[in-house]
Amino acid sequence: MTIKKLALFSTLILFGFLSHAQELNDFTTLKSGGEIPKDFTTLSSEKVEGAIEKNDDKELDKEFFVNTRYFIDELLLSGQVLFNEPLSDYVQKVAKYTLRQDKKLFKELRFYVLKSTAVNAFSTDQGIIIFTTGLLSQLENEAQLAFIIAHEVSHFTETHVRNGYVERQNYKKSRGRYSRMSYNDAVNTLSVYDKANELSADEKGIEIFLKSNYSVDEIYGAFQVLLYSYLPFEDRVFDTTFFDTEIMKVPGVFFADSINPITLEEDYDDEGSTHPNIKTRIDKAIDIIGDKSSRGDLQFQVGEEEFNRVKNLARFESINLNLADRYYADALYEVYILQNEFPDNRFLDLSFVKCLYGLSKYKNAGRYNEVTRKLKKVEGESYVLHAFLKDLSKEQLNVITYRHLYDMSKKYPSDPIFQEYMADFKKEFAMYSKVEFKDLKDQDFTEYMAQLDSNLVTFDLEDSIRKVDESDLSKFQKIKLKKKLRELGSEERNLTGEGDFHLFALRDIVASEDIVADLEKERRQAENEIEEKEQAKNIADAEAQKSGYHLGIDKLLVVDPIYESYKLNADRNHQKSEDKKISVSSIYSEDYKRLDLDIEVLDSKTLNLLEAEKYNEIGLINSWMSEVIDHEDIDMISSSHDRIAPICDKYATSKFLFSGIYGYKERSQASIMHLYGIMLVYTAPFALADLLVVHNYFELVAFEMDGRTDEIEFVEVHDVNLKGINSILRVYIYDILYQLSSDKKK
Amino acid sequence: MKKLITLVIVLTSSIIVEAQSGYLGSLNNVSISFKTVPAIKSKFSVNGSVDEAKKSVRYAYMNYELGYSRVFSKKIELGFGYGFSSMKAYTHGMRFDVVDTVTLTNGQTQLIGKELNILDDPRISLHQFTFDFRYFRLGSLSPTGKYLGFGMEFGTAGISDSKDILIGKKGEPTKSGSLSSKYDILESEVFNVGSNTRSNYVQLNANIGRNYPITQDLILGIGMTFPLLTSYSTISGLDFGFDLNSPGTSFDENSHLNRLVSYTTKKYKGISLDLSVKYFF
Repeated sequence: MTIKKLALFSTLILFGFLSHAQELNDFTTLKSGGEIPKDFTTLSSEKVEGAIEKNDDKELDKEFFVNTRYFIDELLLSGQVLFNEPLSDYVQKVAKYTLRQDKKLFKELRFYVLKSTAVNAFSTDQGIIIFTTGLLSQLENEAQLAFIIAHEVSHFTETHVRNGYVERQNYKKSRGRYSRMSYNDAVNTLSVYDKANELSADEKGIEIFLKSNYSVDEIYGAFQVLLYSYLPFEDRVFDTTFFDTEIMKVPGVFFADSINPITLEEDYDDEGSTHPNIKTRIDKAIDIIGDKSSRGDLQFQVGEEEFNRVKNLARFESINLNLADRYYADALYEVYILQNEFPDNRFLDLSFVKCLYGLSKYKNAGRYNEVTRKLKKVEGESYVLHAFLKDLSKEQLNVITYRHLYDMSKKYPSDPIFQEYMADFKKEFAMYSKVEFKDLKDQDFTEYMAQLDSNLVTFDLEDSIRKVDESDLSKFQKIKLKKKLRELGSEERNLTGEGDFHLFALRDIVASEDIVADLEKERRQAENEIEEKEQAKNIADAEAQKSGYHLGIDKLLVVDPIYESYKLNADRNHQKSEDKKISVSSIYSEDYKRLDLDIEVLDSKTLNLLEAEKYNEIGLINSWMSEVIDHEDIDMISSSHDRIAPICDKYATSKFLFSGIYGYKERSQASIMHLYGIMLVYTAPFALADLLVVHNYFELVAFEMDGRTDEIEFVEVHDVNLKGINSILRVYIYDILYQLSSDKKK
Repeated sequence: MKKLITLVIVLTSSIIVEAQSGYLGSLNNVSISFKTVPAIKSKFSVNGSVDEAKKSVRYAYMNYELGYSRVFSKKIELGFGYGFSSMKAYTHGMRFDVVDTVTLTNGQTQLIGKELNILDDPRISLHQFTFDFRYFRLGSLSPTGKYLGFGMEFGTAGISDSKDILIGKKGEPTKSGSLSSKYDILESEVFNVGSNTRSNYVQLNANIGRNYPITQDLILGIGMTFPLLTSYSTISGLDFGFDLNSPGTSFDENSHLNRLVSYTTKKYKGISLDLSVKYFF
C-alpha cells in the first residue's frame, strides 16, 4: 500500500514536472485570464466619487483621491498587470495563508503582479497590492514572499499612503513641524518620516509573519534578496564554452580572468532615500523578533513546486522584458542561467537568437552602447559576458550570431520565426558585418592552429631577413625579397592569432554550400533592395509632403488612443483626460461612410469583464510599439514580433494605429507685436484680447505601424491652436483615417 | 484667355493630385452668409403719409451672400459667391439747391434759390461677385478652424430709375430723442432720378475667421472682412476712395447721385462681421 502511494506520488510529481517543463517550452509571455477584476473596469472618476462620498477624514482632500486613483489606474490599464494567472494566483494563496487569522482583512485586499524587471512591491490605500515579476524572479522561497506580503499589508493597515500624503502636504505648505524649517531640514525630516513608515511596516509585518508557520530566518533572507536585487536573479560563474558549438570554438583568451566584485554592503548610505538601508532594517527586525519565535520553520506552505513554477515563469518573463528594453546582454545572461536548468527549451533558444541578433544589429549600426551597461557598473559573474560581448569585433560578433542562427534554423526547421531571423540576419551579415567572405575558411580552427604552429617553427622572419642581408644579392633584389618576406610574416601573424577564430566558425557551411557566392549574391540583392526601398520611401515622403499619405489600408486596429488634458497651471486634468479618452475612442469607432476602411478599436477604458484577452493584447502591442520606436533607424525584427503575429491573424490586419492627443492651455507672452498692436489703436482690441484670453491648444500625434514588418509607415503630427472639442477632433481623426485608407491607384 | 485656360488646367490638376479629406470626406460646400457692417449713422425716412419725416440711427448694413467653396489642400480653400444687399443711401447733411419761381404781388415773377433736404434716403441695390482664397493657419485643417484669407470683390450699386427721391423742408423737431427725432414736413417735392444711377467697384479684401463644425454636413463660420483697396468707378473716373468723401452739401444735377452711390458704397464696404452656414457635399 505504501509503495503504491509512493509510486502514485512519484508519478504525480513527475507529471507535474513534465507539464511544467512543457509549459515553459511553449512559453511566449505571461498573460492575464478569466474575468477582469473590477479594479480595472471601474472608471477612475467613479472610484474618486465613491471614495469622496465615503471619506470622513478631514485631512484628506479631493486631490488625494484624484491623484491616487488615477495614478494606479494608469498602471492597471497598461496591460502589464497580471491577474487570474499562475503568478497572481500564487501570491493570492500565500497571502491567504499569511493572513488566515484576519480573513476580513484578506477580503479587503487584491493582489496583482506587474510585468517589470524592477524588484519591487507596493500597496495602495484602496487595498491593491502589486508585486513585480522582478521580485518573484529573485525570491528564494515562499516564506520570503510571505514576509514581503505582510510588510505591504502593514502599509495598508497602518494607512501609510494616507499619512504620507498628509505629511507631504504639510511639507509643501510649510505647515506643522515644517513651518520653521530650512529647505534641507525639511527634506531630511520627510526622508526620516518615510523611513520610519518603512520600519513601522517591517515591525507590523513581522508581527503578522510570526503568526504563520514560516521560518523566521527567511525575514533576513528577504532582506538579503532586496539588498542584491540589482544583480541578475542568479550570480553564476559564466561558462566560457557557452558560445561554443561543434564547429565553432571561442578561444578562452576572449574571456576576462577577473570580475568586478559585488560592492554593495548592508550598511549603504540611505540619505535621501525613502527606505532605510538593509542593516538598519535587519537590526530593527532583530530587536523586534528578539527571542520570539515563529510557530514553525517552514520555507514553503502553499508548495515548493508551485513556488518554483512561479519563479521560473517570472524569470522567463524577465528575458522578454529585458529584450523589449533592449538589454540584450542582460537577457543573454539570464538565458545562460536558465538553459542550465532547461536545456533544449524552445523559448530560451529563441531568446538566445534574439539576444545575439539584437547585439549584432546594434554593433553594426554603431549604437552598441545603447543596449549595454557600462562595464565598470556591471558587478558579479555576469561581468565576464558583458566584457566578452563588448570586446568582440563587429566581424567576430556577426559570425558568432550567424553560426548560432544557422544552427537554430536547422534545429527548428519548421518553426517560421527561426527561419525569419535567419533570413533577415543573412542580409545583415552580407551587408554590414564587414566580414571578407573570401577569408572564411573550410578548415577546423584547432587543426589549422596546430598546422600554423608547426609552420611557424620553420619560418623565422628576422633570421630570414638577416640571411637576405648577408647574401650577395643586388640592392634591388634584397629590397624586393625583404618586402616579400615581411608581407609573408605579417600574414602569418594574422592567421596565427586567436582573434581569427571566427574565420573558421562557418567551416561546415563554407565546405558544403557555396556561402561566399551566396553571400555576395545576398549582398547585391540587399543593396538593390535597400536602394529600391530608399527610392520608394523618398517618393512616398515627397508625395506625403505634397498630398498626404495614401496607404490603401483596408482594415485598421486602433490601439488604446490617449488623451491627456492639462490645465493652465500645467497640472493634468485627470477627470477630463479620462472623459476625452473615451470620446476619442468613440470617434475612431464611428461609421464613416465615405471611408473604405474597417476599423476596430482596442480601448483599455471600456473593456468589459470578459475581455481579458484584449487587455493582454493592449499590453503586448504597446510594448512592441515602444521597442520598435527605440530601434529608430535600425531595420530589424522586434523581439515581440512572434507575439504580435497571432494578434495580426486574429484581427485580420497587421496595421496598428497609435494616437495621442495632448490638450493644454496657455496665455500669450507679451511681445513687441502686442505693443505695436496696441499703439496702432485699431488693432488694440485684438492685441489686448490675445494677451488676456487663455488660448486652447492640442497636439495630435498619430503613427501607424505594421505588425508583420515592424515598420512605422505613417506619422502625422498636428499642433493646433484650437480647443480639442469632439467635432474638431473628428476632423483630424477623419483626415488620418482617410490618409491611411485612400489609395491613389484605386 | 490662354492664361485663363492654363490657370483652369493647373487648378483642376491640383484638385486631382492634392486629394484631401476635406470636411469628413466632403470637399465642396455651398454656403449662405450674412455680413454685417457696423455703421452708426443717421438715416432719414418718411412715416406713412408725407407729413412727418423721421431721423433715426442706423446701426449696420446687411449683406447676404450665396457661395460655393472647395477644399484644395489641407490648408487651402477657394470659393466664389454672389452677394446682394439693399440699403438706404447715406445722405446726411445733403441738400438740394432748387431754383423756384415766385410770382410777386405785382405780378412779376422772381427766381428764388432754396435749399431742400432729402427727406427719405433713396434705396440702393448692390450686387457683388466674390472670389475668396482662405489659408487655414495655426494647425487648422481646411475647411475647419482658423483661417486668414484674401478676396476679390466685383460689385455694382445703383438707384433704379423707377425711384423718386422725396426732397423737401423740415420744420422744427416735434419729437427729439437721442436715437430718433421727428419733424413736420413743411414742403416737399419729388425729384425724379430720370435714368439709372450706377457705380461699380472692385475691392481687395482680407479676411480672418473661424469655422466650427455643427453636424457632419454643416459648418458654422464666423469671421471678419477688412477692405484693403477699393477702386470705384465714379463720374470723374476711377477713384480709390481715399478722397471719395461726401458728395457735397449741394447738387442739382442727376449725375451727382452717382457720387452719392459711390460714397454710400464706400461707407458700406467697411469692416464687416460675417456669419455663414456651410453645407458640405
